[in-house]
Amino acid sequence: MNEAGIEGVATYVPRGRTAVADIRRSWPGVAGPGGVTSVSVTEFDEDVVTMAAEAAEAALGVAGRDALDVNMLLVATCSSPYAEHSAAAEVARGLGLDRSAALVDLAGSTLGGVQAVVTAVDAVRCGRAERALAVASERRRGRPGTAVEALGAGAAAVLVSRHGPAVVTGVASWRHGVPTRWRPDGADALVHYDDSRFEMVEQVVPALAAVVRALGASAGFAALGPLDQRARAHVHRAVGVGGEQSASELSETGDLGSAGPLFALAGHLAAGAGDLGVCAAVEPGSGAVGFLVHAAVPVPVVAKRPAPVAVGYVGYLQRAGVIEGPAPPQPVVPHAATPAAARDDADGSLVGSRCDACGSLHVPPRRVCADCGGADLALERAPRTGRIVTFNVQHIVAVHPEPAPVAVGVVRLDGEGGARGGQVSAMFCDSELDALAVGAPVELVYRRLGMEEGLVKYGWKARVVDGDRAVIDGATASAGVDR
Amino acid sequence: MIGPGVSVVAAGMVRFGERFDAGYDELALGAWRAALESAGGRIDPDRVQAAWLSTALGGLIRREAVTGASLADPLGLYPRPVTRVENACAGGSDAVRNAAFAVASGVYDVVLVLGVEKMRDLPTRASLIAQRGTMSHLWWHPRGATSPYLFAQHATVMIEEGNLTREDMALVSVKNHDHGALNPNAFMRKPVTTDQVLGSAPVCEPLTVLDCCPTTDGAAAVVLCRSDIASSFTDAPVELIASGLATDTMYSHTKSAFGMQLAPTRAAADAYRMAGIKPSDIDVAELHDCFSVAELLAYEDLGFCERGKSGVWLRAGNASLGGTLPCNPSGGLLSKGHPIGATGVAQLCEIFWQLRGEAGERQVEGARIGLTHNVGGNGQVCCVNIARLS
Repeated sequence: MNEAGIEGVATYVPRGRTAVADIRRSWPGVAGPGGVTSVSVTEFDEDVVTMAAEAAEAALGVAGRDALDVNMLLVATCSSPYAEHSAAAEVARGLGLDRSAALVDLAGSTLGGVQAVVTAVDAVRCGRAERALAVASERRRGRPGTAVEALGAGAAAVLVSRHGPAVVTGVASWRHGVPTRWRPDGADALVHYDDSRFEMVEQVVPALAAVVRALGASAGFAALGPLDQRARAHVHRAVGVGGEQSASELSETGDLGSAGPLFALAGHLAAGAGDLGVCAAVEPGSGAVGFLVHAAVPVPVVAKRPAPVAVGYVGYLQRAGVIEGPAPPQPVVPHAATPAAARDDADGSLVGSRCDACGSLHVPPRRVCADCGGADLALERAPRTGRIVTFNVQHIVAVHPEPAPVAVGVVRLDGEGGARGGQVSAMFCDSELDALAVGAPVELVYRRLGMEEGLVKYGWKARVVDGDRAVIDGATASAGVDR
Repeated sequence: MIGPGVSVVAAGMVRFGERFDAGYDELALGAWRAALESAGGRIDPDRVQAAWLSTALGGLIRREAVTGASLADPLGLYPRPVTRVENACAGGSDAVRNAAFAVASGVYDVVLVLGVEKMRDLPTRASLIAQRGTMSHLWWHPRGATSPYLFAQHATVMIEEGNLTREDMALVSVKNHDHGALNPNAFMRKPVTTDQVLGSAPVCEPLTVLDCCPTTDGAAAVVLCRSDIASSFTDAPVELIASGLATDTMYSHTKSAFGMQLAPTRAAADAYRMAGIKPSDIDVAELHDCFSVAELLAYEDLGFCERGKSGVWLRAGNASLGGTLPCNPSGGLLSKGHPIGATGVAQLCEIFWQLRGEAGERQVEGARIGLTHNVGGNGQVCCVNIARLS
């Protein structure tokens, strides 16, 4: 049996924030989640796959590991774009994981995030994987006009390996209760049995208490989810373990489903080493699952937070797909399940081809060098940062469902030369239009490029980098939210 | 001189515009009849031995394969050979080039070149979006770039480098609308002001609607023949003395530079060499002003002015009627319209009339040498043809 520990954690929260008060204005008299003032909202071109990729890239970065070092990827979500098709495979393509990496999808329960970490630990312990990356990513919502309408969006990634400094020392599960929140097959919003006292006293507390007890009640903290602020306080009192560091961010993002406990874990680990703690998830009617973690030395943690922007209730409904604009224009090229798309597979992972003769890097890969005509090129991961060469804001566009205007341009990749090589074409995302400028620094992020017949096409877009936007240590990120 | 000599002996076009009244066949037939009429009955249609058809959007808008028969049918040309040429927006000039080479080879004596496009069977926005496909720009399809971007990307850099102002671009549109107002075949015949251009709806910043050519229906035709028999068809043949065609990358990210276009620069250099002339010998030019900035790029690519000086050269009035080198007396694509496959042929029609002194109110006095500049896609292909009054 090997050791297994956490060697890096990252969280990602999309930039949109919808104030709960804004929603309440349209639904007066409907209760909201306790202690939550806003929820985080995905952009039109984000989903759980793209958020998972952002968090996963950041986790690899903070741990100083390459995508090729990972031989198992686990993706937990209740909000996959697919009822059938591996979300993990789409994330793996974006990350550029080795094709032999094992892919595990944990879908359909908010217990999945913790379960993904537990499974990653098991895989490393038994030697199935040298290094496993557990990611939980969510963008759930409840039915409009209900107390659980406003749910958050975000992703957390936990990198587990034999030598990770935060050692997982125990795991416990407990099945319990009846469901009070569920999403029926084919539905896109949660149904809620709206009795918060019953949910708390009879469902949440007994399930968590059982898990915490099984792990040893001496735990100094508990990272719990998915629970609102008020519920957390209640549980902490009832179960008798200490408070947690991450609570402040929950009030800004809302319920993050399977990712919630991992956000709490990130907050705990970012606060420093030494504490023994419990990371647990609870789901009424399913029960709870948790693990005991001990960080003898600090674990690198990064919180990736594009600068927040306020999104009104109509914007929230548009981004959630509740309100849809006119049908997208007919595609000139048929959907993503074509032989042509299969040949372009490398494009998804921002892989380029480098010319052996002159050193130019071409993204997407070319078979013949555009600079010197050389025919000896080898595939290579392209840099993820660069600077704007030219750009334009387009007011008439063929993309969907994003509304115009949409900016497109050319980016010179950092460290790359060549007259024709070393550049990529990209649409811009998450960027204020007046932040776009020739020479402005950008990072390339994995986003949705469109959807045809329910099949999502993923690829890379450019986001203007603002030095203040990536907060390096933990849970206190994201100032300046417009409420 | 192209081989033993090739001349234009007839030219005709239909009025460009939103031709809801006419389909593809009617447009083609209209241009063919207008060309025959221009020769005053001296061209027997049976003398035309072969034809070249330029059309670009058949597959995208009509969603059907387009062949030479798409010209043979409406004109009743069969069983004569008809070759369909598609080279994005440069298809019209490339069709002229290939037809001329066929005549120069000695295989044919008299041939027809006809360009036709039916774009307004779709809403203008849908038509714009369908054009994505003419750029071979597969990389962009899901990413939302449309044709205005392919030229606007140069404008951003030219303005950034201080070589161009936004007002210079507007001035191109003002000039060409002034010219087009004098052309009965033009689509947009109303003059516009700089303020109107700057204040019209943004399309792809910094381009506004009035910086962009309109979505246009139209057709144009020319008849070419061996120069040694040209006088039997007309008293004033126009000799096609040179043709240059060049290519560049079809992607934005593999362009070697912004603020200049390699293919037009190369095509022009080849054409000047073939004609044995220099840019200052040109008396009149029809330029590919699909977007205002494209005409400014053309002044520099074609050597009408120094690099980085297109704005200065334009502001001095050189390109206006009455200037040193009037550009787009027809109104250009901005005012006359841009039915894609027809554009290059219509450019040659205008040069034919200008060199023969038949251009009416927009006549460039004493013009003897004229040039057409026809750009495809993002500048990935360009054809430059030069003609001289015989």
